[in-house]
Amino acid sequence: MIIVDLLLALTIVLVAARCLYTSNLAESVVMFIVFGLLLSLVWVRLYAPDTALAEVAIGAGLAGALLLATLSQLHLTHAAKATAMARISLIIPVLLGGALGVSLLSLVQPAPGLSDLVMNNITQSGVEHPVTAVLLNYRAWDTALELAILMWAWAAQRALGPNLAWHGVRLQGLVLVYFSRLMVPLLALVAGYVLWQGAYAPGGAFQAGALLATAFILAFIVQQAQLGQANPAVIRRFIHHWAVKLLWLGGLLAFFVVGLAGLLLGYGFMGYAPAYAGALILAIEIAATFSIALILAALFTGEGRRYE
Amino acid sequence: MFLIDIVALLMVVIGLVFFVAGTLGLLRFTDDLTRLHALTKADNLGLGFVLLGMTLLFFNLLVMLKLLLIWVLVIISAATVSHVIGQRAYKQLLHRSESQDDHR
Repeated sequence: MIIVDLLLALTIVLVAARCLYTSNLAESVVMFIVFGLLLSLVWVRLYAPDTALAEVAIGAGLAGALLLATLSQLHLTHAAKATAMARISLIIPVLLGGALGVSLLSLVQPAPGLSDLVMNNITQSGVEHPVTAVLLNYRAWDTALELAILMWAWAAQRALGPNLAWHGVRLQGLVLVYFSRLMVPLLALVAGYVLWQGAYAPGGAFQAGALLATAFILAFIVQQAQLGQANPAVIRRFIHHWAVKLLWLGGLLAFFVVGLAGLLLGYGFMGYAPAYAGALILAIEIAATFSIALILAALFTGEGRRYE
Repeated sequence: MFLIDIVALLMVVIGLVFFVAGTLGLLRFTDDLTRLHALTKADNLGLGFVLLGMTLLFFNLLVMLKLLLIWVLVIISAATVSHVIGQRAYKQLLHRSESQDDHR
């Protein structure tokens, strides 16, 4: 297995370097997607299936789709030649990597870690899966802020300028239509399964949200490809409807309502009553799943021009 | 038990051969449509044989059904994606031959 690990480590560094230092933008995007897939394999090898799932769904899948959509709107195929300054700046990641390596070697062995603390309190956390317990109970604050960061990303994208019209190609035949009729409900079903499973096994709001976002994006792409420019963009309008936009905020709101309730009831901010922790976590996760899915899909579809 | 392990290993190796052949075709073939042809072999047969080997190793009905589901879903998505890429490649091919006719 050590040979596999070494090969994986070597390949991932080469792919990352290629992604950063090629001037061909399409190649750079493809390399980024490959990097995400390889990174998820690294997480599997490190026994972190939750992170692997999130990495492959968001890092490789959705981020890759976003980059490809961006590329189709840019009217250029090659980045500017790297300047001397950019080449010299290569020394910074090398130094950082060296420093990380040195600090890794000087770690206390065996590392004390927090896993004992996590496992000793798991019966009170409301869930059986330690990763979900950390994300939604012990460190719920961090997860709430991650949802805020998603909103921030959407605001930043809006601030960059108007969302351009979609430049997709119109396709012939009904293959994509039947594909989406099969896949969109299936993706929604699997998203529900992954969300529910998060209580006792790898899974949870981020993975489920990414799957649901993929369902929205697939439906959007198929609609665009079948109808071309004359497209009424139903999916995009649905995502940007004001009532649906309330759901964008749902995850964050659920966190803060539950957090404030905890404060008033004397469990501290974002503390849950142990008897209700499981139900509260599930409620927050359902709201968060919709928030994540809708914001990620909105990032992909954009608001578009008004068709009314 | 030992015999099953050997058969499973054989299946995985056959699958890997298809993957290598598919990758080789993807790198060596000259145009998009033939490259797609090479790619589908890796997706369908390569993954099929690897998953067949896996089912023999686990020998558990639930795992078998999950692996079968993965195979069917990958085949459906691969076929659909190939269809989309193929249409795009065919349009580019037509476009190119038209512009060559113009130059004549």
